[in-house]
Amino acid sequence: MSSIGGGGGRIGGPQGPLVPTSTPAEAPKKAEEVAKPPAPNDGFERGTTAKRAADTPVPGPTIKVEGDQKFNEMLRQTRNDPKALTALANTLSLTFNRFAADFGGDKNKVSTLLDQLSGAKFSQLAVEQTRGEISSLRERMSITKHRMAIQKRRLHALKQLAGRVSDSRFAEEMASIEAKVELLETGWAESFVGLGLGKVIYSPSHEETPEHLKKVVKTTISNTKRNHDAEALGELMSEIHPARGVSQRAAREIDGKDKRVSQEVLDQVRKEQRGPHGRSVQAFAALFELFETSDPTEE
Amino acid sequence: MNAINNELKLAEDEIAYLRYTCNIFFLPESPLYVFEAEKREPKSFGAAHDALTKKGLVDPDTWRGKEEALATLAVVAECDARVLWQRHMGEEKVVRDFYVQSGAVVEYKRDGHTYHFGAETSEQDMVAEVVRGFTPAQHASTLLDLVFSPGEYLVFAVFARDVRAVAEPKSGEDRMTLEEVLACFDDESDVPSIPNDSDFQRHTQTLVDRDLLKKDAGNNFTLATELHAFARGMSSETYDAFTRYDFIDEEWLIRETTIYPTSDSIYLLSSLSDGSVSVQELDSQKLSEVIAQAIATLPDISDNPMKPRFAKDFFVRA
Repeated sequence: MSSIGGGGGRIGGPQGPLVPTSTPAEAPKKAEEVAKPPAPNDGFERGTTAKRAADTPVPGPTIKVEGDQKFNEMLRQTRNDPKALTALANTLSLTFNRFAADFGGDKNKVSTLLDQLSGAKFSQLAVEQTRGEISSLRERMSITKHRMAIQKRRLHALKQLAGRVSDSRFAEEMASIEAKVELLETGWAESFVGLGLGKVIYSPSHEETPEHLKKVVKTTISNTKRNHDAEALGELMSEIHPARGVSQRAAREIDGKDKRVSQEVLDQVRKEQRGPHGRSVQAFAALFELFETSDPTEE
Repeated sequence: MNAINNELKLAEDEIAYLRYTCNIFFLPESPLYVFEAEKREPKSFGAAHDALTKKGLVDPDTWRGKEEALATLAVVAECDARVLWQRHMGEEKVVRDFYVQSGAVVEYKRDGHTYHFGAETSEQDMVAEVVRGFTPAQHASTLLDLVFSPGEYLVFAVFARDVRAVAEPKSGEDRMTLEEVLACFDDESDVPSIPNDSDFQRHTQTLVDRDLLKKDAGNNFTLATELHAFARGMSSETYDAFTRYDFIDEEWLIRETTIYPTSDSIYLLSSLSDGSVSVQELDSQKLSEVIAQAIATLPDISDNPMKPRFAKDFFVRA
């Protein structure tokens, strides 16, 4: 039985803009409303209440929930609120333009230095003389470029998702899935649970979730900038994606073949369960080990 | 799955040179980000300049990169999304890796110290290339499109395995009694919420009601004939997995799709958000639709979230 805990830290990046809440002054809440907050009914609300739930010790594995919910907050605000989406889009565009102007200014400065360098045919002396200034400018431009990309990506994602996709539930559901599987002793019963994982892999299904977004899994991935390992992590995530696990399980139920998991993948899975890339990857890894280290075709 | 077309090959020092001259910047999700993280510089600026000049990527006089010529490299360095296509054939696995930026696509591969970049193309072309790698079903009127609960799927799989066990089926040879079906499942009726024999009897009856199982006068069940090709052709060891990552900041949007080619058709096996299992047979049109929705840019929906979106909508920005 796997046990997961921990979680990664925040990587660098700008604080995104949030639309100020425009709700009118609220009437004083009744005491019981304050004492008993409503249960979360989707991934957005679950994300904001997960920390409170995690404060109470529960048996079985737990996953630490990252504190950073700012993009979730943006998505939540834009659901069914085109005005909020437009306001956020405008703010993101303005921020992008400001970063682009900063980038352009630095590009001009570095261009002058590079002209000097090319005039000297990049001689060792010229390189040494300009290295400090170029490096400093370049580092700033690199950070600005990243910030520009984030603003652009957020803008696109807000329009693509329109608040219809929230974080996958499987991190929060891991304990109950593990507990259920632990109760089972037969391969077919494990398959029974494994084949139904779509319920927790994907966002809570609402009537208002467009069909093409129902299979989009939103995850939080930490520390790829610090570890510069996004490429390798992407490959692992593909291998251990629970949706692929379900598909492969369904296929194996038909052909009765044994599953094949390389030791290399298993080693990576066990490493990821310690949480170097945060709870989403932890949950992917934990689900993979839970269902892929035994063979459901064995009775 | 062919090799990269019209590829550009770059050595580490050449990429490091382009980093130093601020021609290329690297985002953390790029496979080239290590150049930025380690602040790599070429061992010899002169040698890198000469090599890049010969490749037409650098102006010999200004020593600066030519922006247009570096567009393919920029797509990988400043990617907003990635598409992994993995073809599994038993022990063998072939991987193709595509990076996407604003609808432009570049295939990428690293081979030791050499970095390979394909010609820049569109997402529409990427989808078309993927689709060309398959031979879809030709009989569009009889395509399978089934949704099972997990319990129904397990019963269905018992009969599918039974069909597979018979090399050349003759009438009546691949039939099972209900007792034989139930014998495939251990009784765990003392464990709450776990299906027991009566559940599987119900699932069996549901499949009969849906005409997926045929019941004869002797209470024997057989898999419907139209499902035999699927049952015989499926192999869990031969499949193509597609994963698309859309990077935001710490958030990644991930789509995973796995399809199974057989000798005369293609099947998509997937899990649905209500916990059921879907089996879809794909003709060329459906294959294109599935692949586009799996690997192309998600369409903007803010104008009308409830409007259904199809493959063509995934190429709007391309």
